[in-house]
Amino acid sequence: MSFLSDLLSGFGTVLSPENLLYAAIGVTVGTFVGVLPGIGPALTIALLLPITFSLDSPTGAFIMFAGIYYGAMYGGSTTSILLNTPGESASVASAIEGHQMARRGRAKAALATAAIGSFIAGTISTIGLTLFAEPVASLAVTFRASDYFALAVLAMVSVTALVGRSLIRGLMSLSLGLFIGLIGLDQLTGQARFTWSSMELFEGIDIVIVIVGLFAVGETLHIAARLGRLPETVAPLGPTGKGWMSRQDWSRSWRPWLRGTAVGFPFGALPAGGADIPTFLSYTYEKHRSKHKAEFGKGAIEGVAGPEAANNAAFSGVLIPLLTLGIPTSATAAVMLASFQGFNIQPGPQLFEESSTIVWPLIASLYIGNLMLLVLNLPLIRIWIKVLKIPRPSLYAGILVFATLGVYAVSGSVVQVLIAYGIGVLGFFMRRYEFPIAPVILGVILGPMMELQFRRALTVSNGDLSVFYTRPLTVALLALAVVAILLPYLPRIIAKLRGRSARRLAFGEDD
Amino acid sequence: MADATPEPGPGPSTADEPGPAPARPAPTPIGPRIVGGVLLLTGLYLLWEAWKAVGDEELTIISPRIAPLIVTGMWVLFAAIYFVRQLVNPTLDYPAPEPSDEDEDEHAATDTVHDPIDWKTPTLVAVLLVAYVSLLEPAGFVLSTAAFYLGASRVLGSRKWIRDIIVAVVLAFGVYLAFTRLLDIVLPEGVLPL
Repeated sequence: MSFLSDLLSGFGTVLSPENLLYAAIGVTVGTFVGVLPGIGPALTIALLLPITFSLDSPTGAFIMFAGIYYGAMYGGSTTSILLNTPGESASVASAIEGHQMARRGRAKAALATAAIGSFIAGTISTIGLTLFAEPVASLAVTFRASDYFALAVLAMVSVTALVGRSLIRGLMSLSLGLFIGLIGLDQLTGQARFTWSSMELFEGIDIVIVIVGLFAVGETLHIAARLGRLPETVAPLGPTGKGWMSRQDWSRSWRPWLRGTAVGFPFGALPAGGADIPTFLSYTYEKHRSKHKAEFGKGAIEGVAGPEAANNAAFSGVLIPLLTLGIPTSATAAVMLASFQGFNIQPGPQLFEESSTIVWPLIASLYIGNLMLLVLNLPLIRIWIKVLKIPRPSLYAGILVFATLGVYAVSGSVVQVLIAYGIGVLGFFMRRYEFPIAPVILGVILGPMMELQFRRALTVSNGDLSVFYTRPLTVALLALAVVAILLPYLPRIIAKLRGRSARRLAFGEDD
Repeated sequence: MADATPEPGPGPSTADEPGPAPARPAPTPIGPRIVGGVLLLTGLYLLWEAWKAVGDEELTIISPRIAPLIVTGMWVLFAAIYFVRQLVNPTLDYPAPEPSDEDEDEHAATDTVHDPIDWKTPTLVAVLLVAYVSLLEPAGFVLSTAAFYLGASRVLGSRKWIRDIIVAVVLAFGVYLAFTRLLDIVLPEGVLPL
């Protein structure tokens, strides 16, 4: 039971006033950002990176990041329920039923079932993380280079194939990401690749620059191009309804909460990650199982409770491959990996031994963050609605300022800012022509990792390619990657569901 | 700017053609074809660069020249598939929006490639951004930020000068002071005596 004492000492760290403050800042900023449509947790964390690098200890930074992530998800559900513009694709499912509930004057019940469901799912899956992270890490010690190569392939391929609607556009995005990842000096031999003899490109293109460009600049240009067609002001529905949840709401919600958790956590934990699939699975399941089938599409509470729980549970799941293997499976996880590396901490099997003073407080902060959000979200709902009413010009002008500031502060170079803008123009065209963003991010961060492990494996085997098809684990992982590519063609359930709501997906499939 | 330079290509070129003119729904959007063409040409150029970098080296499986060849090769392959699909039938990838208007679901109405696009506003925003970052060091963070914020919110449709000026000044000074005094992150001081 050594993990218990580790966890307790983690709590000891988090419960210091300073770290509690970081957690509070994190969940507040996260909720604020989550409420704003089109801006996700990945961008927020990327913009906060330069600030956190000036903190003394990384612990506070990670506690804050965890808060941002959870907060952004809570905020996203508020927006999708009251405004029907899900800020991220994982909120799409709950937007369907939640917004209908709000329109029928049951907004409060929808918000409550989302918040309480998220809290329960977040807590249960954090317990799961507490229990499984260390065993997985000790298992991962036996992984070899070829296994890591296969894991990276699996993570990239499955996110590309399962997120977004068109495989070819996903693969194109992935190629772009892999290409950006190649720019700079080769990690093993130091040879320059695609640098066009420019000093600025020798160090490669930082993930922060890619994320700020694609999300902040790209999204703003995209908004700018359709200002004429967007409604002048947004009109969120008010939090209507008597009381939060009735007895009937409770009895219809608790099973979907638990089932959503049961789907979300394992899916997040697979190195095929993301929260999208479990939320849609949960929605589909609740729809088929419900005694109130007729209500679906018109505001069934199960359709909010299940997907929201799945969404939150998946996040703690995503932390398992991130912390134990160093493999990020979502854009936000990719930025978190970058921030770990910024502090010279390498997530992976050794993390729990070498950096247990950081990992356990991080896990402990997940428990605290969840609780804080429950306290923060429902009573303060009217404040979050006000956030939605920030005029669009002011909001996006401000985002551009912070984007420029973030890149400049992290690089100190005008050229790097220009590169971020250039990537932003790319992001604009990607949004316009519906190329998914997440594969680019994963390509940038997993590509170099994949190449390194590939060459490492071959160096060990003296250039014998058979390492990739003789080791059972490697073969199994690569086979899963093939399955992931074929999977979308087998059951058309997800596609069918998405056909209804897919147009929103291009908006913020940042997670 | 490595990868960014080729891509802005379709911007100006398409801006010349569709512009404000066609009000009726275009049967086949031209945009995806241009994107496909640009992607394919960019990919071929990058593949050629990758091939050029191999030079006289012996190409072993662990050479650092392998990955560029594979990645740019993938790029060319996928861009070609995409391009051909757009040439054959763009509605395959971009189905025309069905006109079913679910009562007043305006919020959910996003644009598709079929909708007309306003090139002027994003171009202006991009110009402002470049001006902003060029002035950042000579003029200093506070001045350039306040000016950029005003300009950008104006371009993005704000007409409330007084509010914007107040926000611009508070934002620029606030961020500058917070970063330099509290966080010890250096920002260009510029011409203002701060």
